[in-house]
Amino acid sequence: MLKGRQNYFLFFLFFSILIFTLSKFNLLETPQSYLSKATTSISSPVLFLSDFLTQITQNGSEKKLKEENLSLQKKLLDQQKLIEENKALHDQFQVSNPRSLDLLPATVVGAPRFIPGIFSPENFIIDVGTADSVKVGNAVVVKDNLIGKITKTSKFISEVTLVTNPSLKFAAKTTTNVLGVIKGGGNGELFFDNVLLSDHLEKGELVLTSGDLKLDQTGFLPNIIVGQIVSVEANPTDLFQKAKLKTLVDFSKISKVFVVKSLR
Amino acid sequence: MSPYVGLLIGTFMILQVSLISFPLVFLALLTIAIKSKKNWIFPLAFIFGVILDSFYLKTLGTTSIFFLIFLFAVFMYERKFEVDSLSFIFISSFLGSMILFVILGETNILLKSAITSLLAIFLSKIEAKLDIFKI
Repeated sequence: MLKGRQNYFLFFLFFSILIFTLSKFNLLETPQSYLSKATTSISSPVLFLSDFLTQITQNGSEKKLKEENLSLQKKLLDQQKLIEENKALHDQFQVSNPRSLDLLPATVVGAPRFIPGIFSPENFIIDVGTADSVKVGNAVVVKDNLIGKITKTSKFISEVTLVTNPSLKFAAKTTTNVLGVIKGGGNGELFFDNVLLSDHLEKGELVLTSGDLKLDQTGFLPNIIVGQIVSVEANPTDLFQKAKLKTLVDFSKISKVFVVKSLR
Repeated sequence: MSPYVGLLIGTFMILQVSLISFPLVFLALLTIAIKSKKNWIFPLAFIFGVILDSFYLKTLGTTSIFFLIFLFAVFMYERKFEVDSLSFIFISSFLGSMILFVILGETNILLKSAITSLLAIFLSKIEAKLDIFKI
């Protein structure tokens, strides 16, 4: 009995190690991408159904107010950007060349969270991959809000690490150009850390990406909204102060996102 | 093997990849292995491990290797302990999910492992009540 069980175990362990080795050397990329596509096609309707149920249970007027708030925040930021641009034009007597983004729409097919409604998702799986020219490092946005960064890709699906994920850290600035570092706190928490004590942070202020776009067009463009300051933690004995942020987008209710492929 | 077993793990897999990041497939495999004590749990662990890896874009085989080694270790304790007791299910699911969360790079590992092991007890009670693993 034990011998038979041991043989079973060793047989499948051998196969697992074989697959692991082949996969490590990227020799199973094509079957893996088709397998993940098949899994995605099954999981996608489940997620859609869950979103639908959430939407019908959500209060209609509350949802409308949230959307209105989001749109007003965007207008406020646009206005601020216009003022800054105008000032720059006056100062330097040159006309900037406004560029639009090459956005790739994607559907969220997996947003696992530990307990739905209590824990927030920290990763998304989206239905676009290297076949759609998605690269590791591409930014993912919804309207003018940063959602996260592509961290893994296969032919047909990709993994987005959300800004609230503790593994994601990047430079950011406030609307008054105070510099700092965005750090995910896990479970929907977000912090604007490493801000000099001499700088002034204000509750309600927006925090934007400072821009770290690379030559291969991966990374974040400047001035994408990361979140809004809800509280500031400044201790006179510390070197830095930090602020707690809230994202303007509810990650648990997102079903469509956009991958920033490049600048046009 | 009862067709309900495949159906149960399949349903858990779809829930795990789309909605809940509980290691539902691991819990199902563990409780089924403890209740049934059959060898067909190994091919199931292998197949579902590979499917999970493909969805999470991880190196194929990583989860399968973990599932196989952990289930085999549980079987090794069969003669020493009362493996289908609730305390064994609690401890093994706690340790197993903790290792799995480390592999998956999750946060709040202790809290999540504790909740997972409570769910394992609940699941094993349901499985015992439904009696779908007596083959």
